[in-house]
Amino acid sequence: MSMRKDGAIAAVLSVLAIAFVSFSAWFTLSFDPDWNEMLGSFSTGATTLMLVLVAGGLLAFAFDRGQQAVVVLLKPHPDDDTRGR
Amino acid sequence: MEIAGGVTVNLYLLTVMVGGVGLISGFVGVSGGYLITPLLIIMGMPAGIAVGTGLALMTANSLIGILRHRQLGNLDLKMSLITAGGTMVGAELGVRLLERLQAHGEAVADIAVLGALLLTLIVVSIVVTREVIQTGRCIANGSEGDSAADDSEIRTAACDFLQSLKIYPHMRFTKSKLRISGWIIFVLGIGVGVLSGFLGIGGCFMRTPALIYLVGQPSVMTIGTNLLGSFFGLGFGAFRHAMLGNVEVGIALTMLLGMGLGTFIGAQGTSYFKGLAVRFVLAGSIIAACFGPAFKIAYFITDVAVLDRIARILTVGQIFMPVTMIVILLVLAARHRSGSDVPTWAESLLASVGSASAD
Repeated sequence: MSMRKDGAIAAVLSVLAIAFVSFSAWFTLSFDPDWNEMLGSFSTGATTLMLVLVAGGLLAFAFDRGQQAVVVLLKPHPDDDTRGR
Repeated sequence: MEIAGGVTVNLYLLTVMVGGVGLISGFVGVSGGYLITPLLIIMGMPAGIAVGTGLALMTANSLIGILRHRQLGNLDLKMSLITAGGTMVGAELGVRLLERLQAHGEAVADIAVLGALLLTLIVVSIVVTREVIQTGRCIANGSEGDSAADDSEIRTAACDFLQSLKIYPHMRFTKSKLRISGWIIFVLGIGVGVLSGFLGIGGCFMRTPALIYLVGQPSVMTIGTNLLGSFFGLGFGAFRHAMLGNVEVGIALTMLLGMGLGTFIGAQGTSYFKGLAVRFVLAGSIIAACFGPAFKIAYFITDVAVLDRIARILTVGQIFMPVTMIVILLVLAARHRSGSDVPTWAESLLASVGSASAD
């Protein structure tokens, strides 16, 4: 696989992960779910913690792939002769 | 954006400002509780929701910092876990101490907490600033201080003494390249935890100098270690507050986008600098954090309203000083890497181009 293709995939993964967290933020802000009513208080704590941790993990992944995409796509690769291997 | 209780907050401004806190968090290795909570309260959130939402935000953000620093090799898992254990025990003791003080009246407790916070900040800032100036002078004179700034480790009499104590288990910390008793790390965690529980903050800004000057851990290594050390306490706090309905999940997730990006850039920035630069910014951020509590204490004593307003402004303003320092350093690092001239003082803070762990 060529370096540029790697960079493009990294960019797409980064955008997807950020979009997922942004969508979750928009959803919870727009529909304002009452976690306490929906779940017991213990489950509320666990669900909230799990949600923010998954978001944190996803963003760490997104920024890492984003950086990888920037490095690969913005640097010139004159010797990119691996294409087609 | 309207939140619980009909209070309106400017979510976009908040996201940008916590992005600045994230930059400090990623660069210096603090969770940022002493910046986030006052910021959220000043921006209009009720105190309970500010604390709960801030804790949830810092938990997720710490995870971003931990994962990034793990990739950069700035994480000592063994030391983090022992410190975290000690901090949790200490935090419980600190909370009980605070409860006893509150029995004597809220005003007494407020002044005691702010006084202890101010004293801790002053002591830590003096120690860190003194060492940074001394090391900076050594580098300017071209003497042996360069090796310390090169981040192998800082040798203080205290860390020599503590490392020489052969109390079982005398453990080897491979990542930090040192041997010290596990009990010493645990007791150190308790000490930080007591202050943390008593003052109601994460305690990272105390743990960082303690790990550098008492344990002898390399400055860059303390960043990830510290974040993981505080992660469990933050997570537990977020969980408890969520049970009480004090976490605004949507707001926390939105702010996380800004803070996470700031943390990622800050963490990445550490690979372009020597440990001295981290300590330089740490000293600046702690000095900046002294003024807010000082004016707040003056307000409690004199009851002059303008002092309270100044304290609030300074509390928000303390974010800008370290952020400005980090941005200037990052710009100088970019110039250095592109081959442009940088001031002599800045050269002593920059890692050699080949040693940066990421491109």
